[in-house]
Amino acid sequence: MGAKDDALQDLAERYQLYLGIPRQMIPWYPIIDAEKCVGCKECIKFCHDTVYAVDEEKRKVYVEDPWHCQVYCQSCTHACNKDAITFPDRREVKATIRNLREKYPPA
Amino acid sequence: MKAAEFLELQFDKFRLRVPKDCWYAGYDTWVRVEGDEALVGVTDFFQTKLGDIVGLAAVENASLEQDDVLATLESVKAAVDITVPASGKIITFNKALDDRPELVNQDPHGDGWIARLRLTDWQADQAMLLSPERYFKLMQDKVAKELERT
Repeated sequence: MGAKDDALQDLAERYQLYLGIPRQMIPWYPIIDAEKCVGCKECIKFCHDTVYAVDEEKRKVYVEDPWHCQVYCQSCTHACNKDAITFPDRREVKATIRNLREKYPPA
Repeated sequence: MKAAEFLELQFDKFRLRVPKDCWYAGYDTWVRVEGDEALVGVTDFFQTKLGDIVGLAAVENASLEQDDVLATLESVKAAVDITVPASGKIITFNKALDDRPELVNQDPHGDGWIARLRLTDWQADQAMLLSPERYFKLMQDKVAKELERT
């Protein structure tokens, strides 16, 4: 096992896997438009997965841990009245996951 | 449902069931294949977490790929997108939910099904899904995480 594989194994142990794939290899997470965010924290109240945190000084929410975001969940967008939250393109993420699945077959 | 037909986990005051005749997505939806058609819905864990469901807004697309948004479920707690675990053409959404969305809470794997599909890529889709046993393990992890929060 090479250094790269060791690093991936370490990631897998630190974070939950998705279909056996280290979560950090899957580019699914919210993106906040700071111009639109008013710091109301509704997204934080909605999401139980500790994805978001608030910058009290700037009074803005930011994505603290994108890898805790549930893959394909984007329900927090409904909680945001300012449409400040977007997600990557599902089809592209799906293609990425299918490619990764070949490298990380089901256990 | 006979006991041999599902896996079960006690969660707080709830008994969460995972029927053995379905395949599961990690985002807590299920698919039950019936020939070249399939029923899809949300899992017992998902509906328990969501709370009392008061409405469903279906997507307008007639054809969906696996992992596309199928509908938005509204509960007393929140509005949540549900994701389709298999690719297919929508034959129908469950019309009973128009008047009785609570069926999703009462019988998530039975009368509370969400949509019927004509499958279009089942062989490839199935490779991305979890067996009942693997989903049960994932659900146990999710329940443990929920309990940590409370």
